[in-house]
Amino acid sequence: MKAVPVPTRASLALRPKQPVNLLLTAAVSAILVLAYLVSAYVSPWSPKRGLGLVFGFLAALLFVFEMLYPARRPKARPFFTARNWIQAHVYLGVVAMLAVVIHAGFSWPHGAFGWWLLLLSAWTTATGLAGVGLQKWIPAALAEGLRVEALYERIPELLEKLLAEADALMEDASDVLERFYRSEVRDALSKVRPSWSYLMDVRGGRDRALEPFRRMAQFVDPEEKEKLEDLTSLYTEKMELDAQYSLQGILRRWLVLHVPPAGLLMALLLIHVFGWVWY
Amino acid sequence: MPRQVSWGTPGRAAHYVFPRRAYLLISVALVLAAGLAFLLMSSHVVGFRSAVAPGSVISAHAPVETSCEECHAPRSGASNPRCQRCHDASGAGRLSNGAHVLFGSGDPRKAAAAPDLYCASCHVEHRGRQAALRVVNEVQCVRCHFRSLRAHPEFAVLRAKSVEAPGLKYPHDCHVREIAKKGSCKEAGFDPGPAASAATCARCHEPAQGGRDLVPISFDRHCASCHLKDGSVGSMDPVAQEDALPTEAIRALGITADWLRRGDAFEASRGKVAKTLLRHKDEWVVFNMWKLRRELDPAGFATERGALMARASQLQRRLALAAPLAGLDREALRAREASLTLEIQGLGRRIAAQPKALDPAGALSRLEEIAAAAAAAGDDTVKADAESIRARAAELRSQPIPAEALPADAYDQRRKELLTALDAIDAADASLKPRTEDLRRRVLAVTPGAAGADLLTRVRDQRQADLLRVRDELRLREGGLAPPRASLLAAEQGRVQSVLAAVQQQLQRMSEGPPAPGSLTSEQRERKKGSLEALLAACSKCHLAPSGSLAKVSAARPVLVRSTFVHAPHLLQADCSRCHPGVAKSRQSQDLNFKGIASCRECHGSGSAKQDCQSCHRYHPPAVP
Repeated sequence: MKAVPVPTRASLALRPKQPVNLLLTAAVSAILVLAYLVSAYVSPWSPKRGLGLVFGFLAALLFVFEMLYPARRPKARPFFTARNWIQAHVYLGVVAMLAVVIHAGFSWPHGAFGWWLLLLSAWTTATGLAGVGLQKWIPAALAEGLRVEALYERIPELLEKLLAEADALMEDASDVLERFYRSEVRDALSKVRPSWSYLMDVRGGRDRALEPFRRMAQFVDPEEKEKLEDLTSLYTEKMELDAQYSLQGILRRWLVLHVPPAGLLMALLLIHVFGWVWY
Repeated sequence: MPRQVSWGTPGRAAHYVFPRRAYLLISVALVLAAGLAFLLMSSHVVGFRSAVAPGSVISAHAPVETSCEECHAPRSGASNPRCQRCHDASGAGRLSNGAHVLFGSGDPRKAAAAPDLYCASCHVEHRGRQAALRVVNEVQCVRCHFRSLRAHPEFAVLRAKSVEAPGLKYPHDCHVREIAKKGSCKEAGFDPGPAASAATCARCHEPAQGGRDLVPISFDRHCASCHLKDGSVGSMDPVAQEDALPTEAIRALGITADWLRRGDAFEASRGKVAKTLLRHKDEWVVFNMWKLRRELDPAGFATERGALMARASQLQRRLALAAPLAGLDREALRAREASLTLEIQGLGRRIAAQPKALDPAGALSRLEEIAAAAAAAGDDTVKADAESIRARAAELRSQPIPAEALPADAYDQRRKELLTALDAIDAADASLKPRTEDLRRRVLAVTPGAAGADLLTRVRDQRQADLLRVRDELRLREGGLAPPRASLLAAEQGRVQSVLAAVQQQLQRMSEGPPAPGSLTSEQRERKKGSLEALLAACSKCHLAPSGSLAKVSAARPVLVRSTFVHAPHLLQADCSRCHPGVAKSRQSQDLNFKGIASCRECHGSGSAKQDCQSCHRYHPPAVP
């Protein structure tokens, strides 16, 4: 019997949730590029006239639609589901970027303003797509690799609890163990230590971090071994909370890279449209 | 049992966890957007416009870069009148698509029907200081023409099998033979340059230094060494003294041309006069040739003179139109606007009245009116003309008006009659000259088969374009923009002025001399014909002299009028005979000795050389046609 290959997390992250939408976007993109090629063959391409202008309008309208994404919350139902909103946001964003490139006739801008428009469009699209990937990757990684689950806002409070628990545990510990706790463990337990490395492996660095505990086991009395194991468990839990905090933080903060530049893009778009209408 | 790492959420929260504010980020983004938009708009208003410009303009336009209004009209984009303000200062409309169509097809109706194109659709600005604005996207050409050199039609001059009329009798074969006999060109004191195989041709067809084409053939440079003997081009038979005026007699007429101061030998005996030494372009011969021609064929003379006068009048009009827009103040511009508005209204009325123009009563009554005015002048010649016009009017009155266009010959004849009549009116009453000049220009502007309404419509369209420009200029002045620099306008004016000077000089020569006598007796006519032939005997050895007048010489002038063929780079690649085979056997000056588009395709069609339209063709007609 042939073994069914287990999909990797990377392939899962790249796999579209709605393959129909991906195909539809690819088809629309192909049609747009084809329209450009035909039009550029029969008449000189200009962003200010004919199909070039149509593409400009299309890109502007799509960008405005993209900016309406926050409106999904109160308006999501009954007309759209939140899932439809995000699908439209992602795929139409890609089409908007393509429309921008076609509007410019697949050529580089000639001035600073044009460059800003193009770079902000590209940045916003790229950060949006990166966000889509992160939103698929991170929750799966957290669910697969960690035992602890915690709301981002609760993590500092949970850490305080862990620290209190550790302090209580070490109250009647031997000098050796307590010294070990004070010098090497307590400081690490007292504050969150976020790290980008969790993005690649949520359990990464754990063996190396627990190595001092294994070494310490050789020096403590047998009756204190259980205390050391409890301390190890507390430290492991703290590391899991670190991973939760890091990855949930990334999930929240990538929006800072996406939304404010999108706002700046809207401002440039407004000036661009004004310039076209007036001049 | 040792402690285990918690599964799931470790315990309950001590208090309610407040979620993030839903619209925080989008609010920040919108505030940033509003701030940036405000900043950019403010910078635009205070004059710092490069931040929002789509790119730098070319170096030549850099002085007006921050003044968008110099090129952009509000809500109209980069408008043509703003380009024409500097680039077509005389308002000739030379840079319009209509002018391009007229340049290519020669058909005014096609030109009038040609759609307007924005200058900016081909010449795309804001592509940086070093951008080549002249280089255009050739897809624009392909929209009306063909896509590749393979589909390029044969050159019009060959396709129509038209015969170039160089005005000379020039058999290439014997000239090539004679030059070859003289040995190499270097021995003859002539260096043909690196294209040694082209030495024989280069004896006469010299590449212009730094120019685009070959140096025009000149008698002194290229012909005199063989055709001039003792300073004379030949001899002439004596002519009757009353037909040819000696220099003294010409001086007595009050003509003080430079050439009269130089005395040449004359031989006079038995009522006849001959010139012993005939120079090339001998002024005495030329003057008397014009005199005899005017006497023998007044209609032909009037047509030629009329054409020149029309050309001069056209150029003068262009000069007159060029100055005001650049130099006029606001009041004068308003006056120009008012006069153009009136003119357009008048043209509208005339176009509306065109269907009635073919009404015999209306048309013939105007003819009668002209004849009566001419007769009233009291001059015998004018009286005779008036009589002939009256007779023609009576004849026309009895004839039905033809439904179709006149045949070419009849058309030419009718035109000659009209121009003769205008000449007569001119001579009779100098105060009518501005009116006759205008009429002459209009008579010459009408093409066979064209209705008067077509011409009037074209004129109206041109006036409307002028009016638009005047109004645009007024708007710009009201907006505080200065007129373009005078030097920008002077360039084109200078070209028009030099052509005008040449035309006026030619007209002056034709006008010199005593007035033509009235009708000639057959005896007088025969004698004068003989005198004219004797005068032109030496000239006719080389020059063509149809109907008693020397044909205009255009030897070795470019025949591909719509392209800009440059010989120099081609001569580095190939021998002359590659494109011009059969020159050594050619016996007629009309032979083009040119393979046509096939010779171009040999290199340009194979991909070894460029084959874009702009390499050979120019879109805009020259400044002075």
